[in-house]
Amino acid sequence: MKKVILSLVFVLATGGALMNATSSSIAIVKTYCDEVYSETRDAVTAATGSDYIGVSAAIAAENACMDEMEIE
Amino acid sequence: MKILRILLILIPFFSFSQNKISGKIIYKYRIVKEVFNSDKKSENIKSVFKGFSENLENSKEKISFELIFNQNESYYKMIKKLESDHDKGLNFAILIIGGKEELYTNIKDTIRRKRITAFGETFLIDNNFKNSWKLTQESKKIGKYTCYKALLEKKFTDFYNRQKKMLIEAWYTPEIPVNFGPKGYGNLPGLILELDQGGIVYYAQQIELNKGKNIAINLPKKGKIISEEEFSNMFRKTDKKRKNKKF
Repeated sequence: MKKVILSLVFVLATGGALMNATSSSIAIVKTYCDEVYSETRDAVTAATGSDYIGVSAAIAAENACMDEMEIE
Repeated sequence: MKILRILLILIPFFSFSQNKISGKIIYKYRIVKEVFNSDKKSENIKSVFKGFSENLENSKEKISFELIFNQNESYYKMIKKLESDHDKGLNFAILIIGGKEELYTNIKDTIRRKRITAFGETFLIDNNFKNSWKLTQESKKIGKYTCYKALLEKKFTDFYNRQKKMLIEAWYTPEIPVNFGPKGYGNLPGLILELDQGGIVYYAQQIELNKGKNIAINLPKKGKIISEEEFSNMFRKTDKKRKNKKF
């Protein structure tokens, strides 16, 4: 019984660590894709003088970034 | 001397302007300098911008625009390609180059109307026709046409509410006496054969003129009529909503 409890504690502990690692990776990717969004918006608006094109390009670039990183 | 020179430029324009003229111009684009400024950017962003530039470079053979005009009106739009729906790089280039916009201009009634589909709806955006071009005496030959340089400062507000300016350079020819050009630019004493906007040069690849002939061009009417400011605010709101969602 003691062995079973110890194994369960081990599984929960490693599972939790893995989950923490995954959510921290997701946060890093989201921060990166967020940077892609703002930088694209600003650079494209500056190049075209159009906020419509700037925001549309930024949304497209952010979506492509998320797809590349396989995050929904 | 300067006035005499300007008069000499304008004489063909006025002498031909009473005759009917219509035509079709095919514009292509080329990249002449870095379009997306990557100074002081992180290595990741530099690499993203490099990808954007490659998209523009790789798509230039696939994207063309058509300008049809008569004496008073013009209509400018991208020539559609079937493959564009599935190619992300090409779609991105089309957006940057202005391929999602169609432009109608009427110099007689001073109308400039942009037709754009966004958020699943078609918008008709009416804006100011008059551009304050600075005419210069600098000239060059484009094909058989003598062209003159004109400069325009386009003002816009960035997303940090800073007023910015971008310089647009146009080369127009008084030998084709109509006031039109690519991307809705015009109001110059001759057709624009080349236009440089932020390192993207739109140039006339094919010129078809029908002197003495008129063609009908219709004002686009289907869609929601909206001012440029209202249209711009829609995108600023989308941008703000995204920020609020995040924090």
